[in-house]
Parts: sequence; C-alpha cells; structure tokens
Amino acid sequence: MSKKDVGILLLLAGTVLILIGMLATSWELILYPYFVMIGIILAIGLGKILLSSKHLITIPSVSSAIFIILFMLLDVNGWASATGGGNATKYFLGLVPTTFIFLVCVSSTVILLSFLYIWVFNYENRLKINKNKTFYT
Amino acid sequence: MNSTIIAILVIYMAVCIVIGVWATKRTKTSSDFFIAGRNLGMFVMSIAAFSSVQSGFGLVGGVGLTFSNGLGFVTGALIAAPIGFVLTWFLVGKRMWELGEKAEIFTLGDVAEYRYNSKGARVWVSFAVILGVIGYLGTQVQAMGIVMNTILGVSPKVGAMIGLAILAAYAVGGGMIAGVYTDVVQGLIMIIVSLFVFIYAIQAGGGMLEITQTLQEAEPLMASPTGMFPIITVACWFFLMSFGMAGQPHLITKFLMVKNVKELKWGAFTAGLAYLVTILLVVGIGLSAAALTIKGEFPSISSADETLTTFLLEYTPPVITGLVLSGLLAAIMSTGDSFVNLGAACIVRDFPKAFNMKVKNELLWSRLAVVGLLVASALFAFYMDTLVGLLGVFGFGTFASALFPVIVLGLLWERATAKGAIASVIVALASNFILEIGAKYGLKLLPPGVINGAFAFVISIIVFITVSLFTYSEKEKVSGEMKEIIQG
Repeated sequence: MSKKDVGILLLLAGTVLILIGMLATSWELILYPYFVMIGIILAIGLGKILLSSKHLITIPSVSSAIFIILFMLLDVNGWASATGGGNATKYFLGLVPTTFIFLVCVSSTVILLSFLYIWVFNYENRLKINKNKTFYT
Repeated sequence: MNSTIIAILVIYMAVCIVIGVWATKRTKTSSDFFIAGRNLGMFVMSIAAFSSVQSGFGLVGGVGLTFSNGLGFVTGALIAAPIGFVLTWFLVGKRMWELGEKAEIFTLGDVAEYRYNSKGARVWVSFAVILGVIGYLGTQVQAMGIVMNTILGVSPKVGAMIGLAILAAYAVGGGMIAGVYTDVVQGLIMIIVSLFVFIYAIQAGGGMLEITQTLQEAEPLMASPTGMFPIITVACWFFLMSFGMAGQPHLITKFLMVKNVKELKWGAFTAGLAYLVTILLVVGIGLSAAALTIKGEFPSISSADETLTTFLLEYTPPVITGLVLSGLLAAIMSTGDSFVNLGAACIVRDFPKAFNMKVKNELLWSRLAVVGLLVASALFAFYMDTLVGLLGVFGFGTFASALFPVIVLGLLWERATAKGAIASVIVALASNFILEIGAKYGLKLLPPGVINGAFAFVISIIVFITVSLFTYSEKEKVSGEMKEIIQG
C-alpha cells in the first residue's frame, strides 16, 4: 500500500468521524477531523515534490495546526457557550474576542495559505530549473 | 428611482454589451466559446473565478441573514469560501491546467472521461452539472427580476426579461470570452462598492464598538461569531464551503482557460482577497442595520432580503447606491453567464460524446444551446415555480458532493475507479434531492442544524473511496500521462 493510499484511508476515517459528528451534533467531531483532513489532502496534493523534499511536510502540518489553534482559541473564549462569547467586555477593533478571532484571524488564513501556495510554486520551479541545469551540465 | 442610479445601471449594461460585441468578434472556435481560447492571464482568470462564485445570494441573502440572525452565515459560509479557493488552487489548479495541455478538454465531462476512461463517468458528471445549471439559472432569473423591479420599478417578469436580454447579448455571441471579461468588470464593481459601503455602514452605525455594544445589550449572540445560528450549522457550512469549493464547476473549469501554468501562482491570493473584500459589505450592512433597528433608526422592512436595498437608499449617496445595485446585478449575471456556458457545453459536447455522436459546427450549436437555455430558464422561472423550487435544491452542496470526489479525489488518487465515480455521483444526487425535498415538505431526516448538502457531501466521499477500494483492478490502471498528472 502506497503512502498516498494510506493518506486516502486517513481521509476516509476523517470523513466517517465528520459523519458521526453530524449525527451526534458535535461541532468538535466535525471541525477538528476536518482540519486534520486539510493537512492530509494538502500532503496528497503536493504529490511527488513531497517525496523528494520531505521538509515540505511542514506546509500541510502548519495549515492544519493554524486552524486547530484558532478554533481552540475560539473554544477557550466561549464560542460554543450559550452566548457564543458575545457577552465579553473586552474588545478588539470594536469586536468581542470570538468575533475578532473569526473575522480577522480565521479570514486571514486565506492570505497565509495563499502565500504558502506561492512559496511551494516557487520552490517547485526552482527545483525544475536546478534539475534542468544538472541535466545539461 | 433616482436618475443617477438609473444612469449608472444603464452604463453598466452598456459596458456588458460592448464587451459582448468585442468578444463575439474574437470567438471563432468552440475552444474560444467554452474555455476562452485558453488564453487568460492570472488577473482575469482569478477575478472571473471569484466573481462567478460570489452570487446574488451571497450578497443579498448574506446581508439579510446577518441582519436577522447575526454573523453565523458570514463566519460559516462566506469566510470558508475563500479558504476553499486556496485549497482548490493547491489540489487541482495545476492538474486541471495540465489536463488541458495534454488533451482537448473543455468540460468536466471531458475530464471525467479522460480520467476514468469511461463514458458512464462522463454522462453522470454531465447530468449532475446540467441539473445544477438549470436550478441555478432559474433562481438567478428570479433574482434578476426582483433586483430590476427594485431599480426600475418594472414588474419582476419584465425586469427578468431585460436582464436576460443583456445576458444573451454577450453570452450568445461571445461565449466564455465575454463571460470572463464581463466577470472581471462585474468583480471589480463588487470589490470597489464593498469597500465604500463598509465604510458608510460602519459610520451609519456609529462605529464598530457602538454597533457591537448595541447588539450585545439586545442579544449577546448577535455580537458573537455564530449569531443566532446553531454552532453545528456554522461547522457544517464551514466544512462544506471550504472543502466543497473545489467541486464547483464554474470555478474549476477556469483552470482550463489559463494560458500558462505560471499564471496560477498569484491566482489563489487574488481570488481569495477579492472575495474577502466583498464580505465587508455583508458584515457592514448586516450588523449596522441590525444595530440601527434596535435603536429604532432603521425603516421597518417586510423581509430581511430588503435590508440591503433599504440601507442603500437611506444611508448612501445615489452614486454608491447605483454602483452597489449594478454590483448586485453583476453578481447575479456573472453567475448566470458561467452556468449558461456550462449548460451549453453539456448539451452540445458532453451528452453527444457520451453516445459517440459528433456534433458538426459545435460553435453554432453552442450558441443555439445558450439561447435555448436562457429561454428555458425564463419559462421555468415564470411559469414553473415548483420546478425551479425543486431544481433549486441542486446548488452548491450538490456540486460539492457530486463533483468533488469524482474530479478532485480522482485527480489525486490513482486507485479511484469509474465505478466509484459513478456510484458517488448517484448517491450525491439522490441524497441531496431526498434530504432537500424532504425538508421542504416537513420531513427532516437529519438532526436539527445539520446542513443537508454537507451531509450528502460526506456520504459521497465515503461512497467514492469505499467503492473505489473494492472495485480497483488492473483494468482500472491509469495511463502514463494521467499518472503523471495525478502524481503532481
């Protein structure tokens, strides 16, 4: 069984957990497996470049970790409580902490992940150029 | 309606028609018609991608939902969407582009047949696309009628006819070239107005802190990220909208239109940032209008969907109102043109190819198919409300559940099989239909708060992987070229 097959089986396991989460109405069982799945599918998506540059595993790991940390932070600040953290008396940019984390930090992951994509893109190109140089010299 | 607002709208429509005429001259082959001649640069492709995904519902519905129920829709669905853009670029961006390089691939049906070497996979993928297209088009026509009615005061039917005529003016002749360039104009309008309106909205509400404190005093949940929505709903939306984005045909077919793989590099950033900016409009007006209502300073409205137009007319100058209403129409039309093109591709290319039929003069027939689809969608919207309602359930969740496993997982995993693909599409369509129609008629099969589309999405992924694992054999082995694409 290849590493990719293992990855797909892990995706399957994550999806089953999400299904259970939906039936048990547990947001934790939906979102936390999902964030792990993001890392797994990004690792699969990186394809053969990950096999040759093992350190790139940090990209999917960091992606998953960021979401997990942000949602744990949300949880600590009471987003799952009866008021969703809406009764807080501390404000960041005029927002309660849970709303700030979502509207500012979670949405900023778009920018962060985009930069990771650009970085991988450049890295892949550099590898190809170096490979060509080695081939012709 | 104020003459400035009408003038801005007329200018916007004229620009769409001019682009249509220009694009018609450039459209000479079916490749031009379906994939814009595979000649798009990064900016055009990514703005067109964002603009075709940001629909009228995201803006009008989003503002209404935020006004009435707080931020749950924004945090669950709207913020997840641009995250989905980045995942899509990561997972299938290059792979879709490479497919287009290696073979004559214009549609997702083409992708399915090439990937699985199966006409059955092509038929089922195309069937899923066409169901969604008809559903989406019917609802876009109805939305167009409502917006035109607000702006011009004409009846919704006449308004929809005017909107459809403009859409036809550029979509029939100019195909996808007209589609993407009008999408760019439409996308830029949405971005600019969202920035301006956000500032107006926050000022009208007395600043962000005052808005938050007003909402907190009335109902703390309104100041929270989930709003009045159950947390499980927000979680389901977040999962569906981010992961499922890679299954949206109007987004992933855009990768086939890019001229050079290098153009993909900044695409996720551009499309994601553009979408994030438009969320400001929803957050700004939605929260500000809710706070103003609590203070008794917002006019009473009969439906939450009127929040956007009421706010604009009361709190912004006519130029901004005109631009936002044009932006709104833009959001509806840009989604409509993408879908009409996808539908034409299914009719003229996918279904005939599935039955080994060759369509002569594909370009002419594609144009006729666009006309046919526009007429049919108008008839459905005007005279078959129930049918539009039924087909309207085939939306984002259907595309996510029917196409994500087949296309995205199929392009990532060598052992995916045609049987797995077909089984997952059938299960996705059936589960979406049963769950949505059941809910419509009071039969709620899932626990409260669970989103039907998200549930169907999960089921289809499980079916796809499981059936593929059990049906994989040497016969299913992918070709060398396909293997190269899958390996990335």
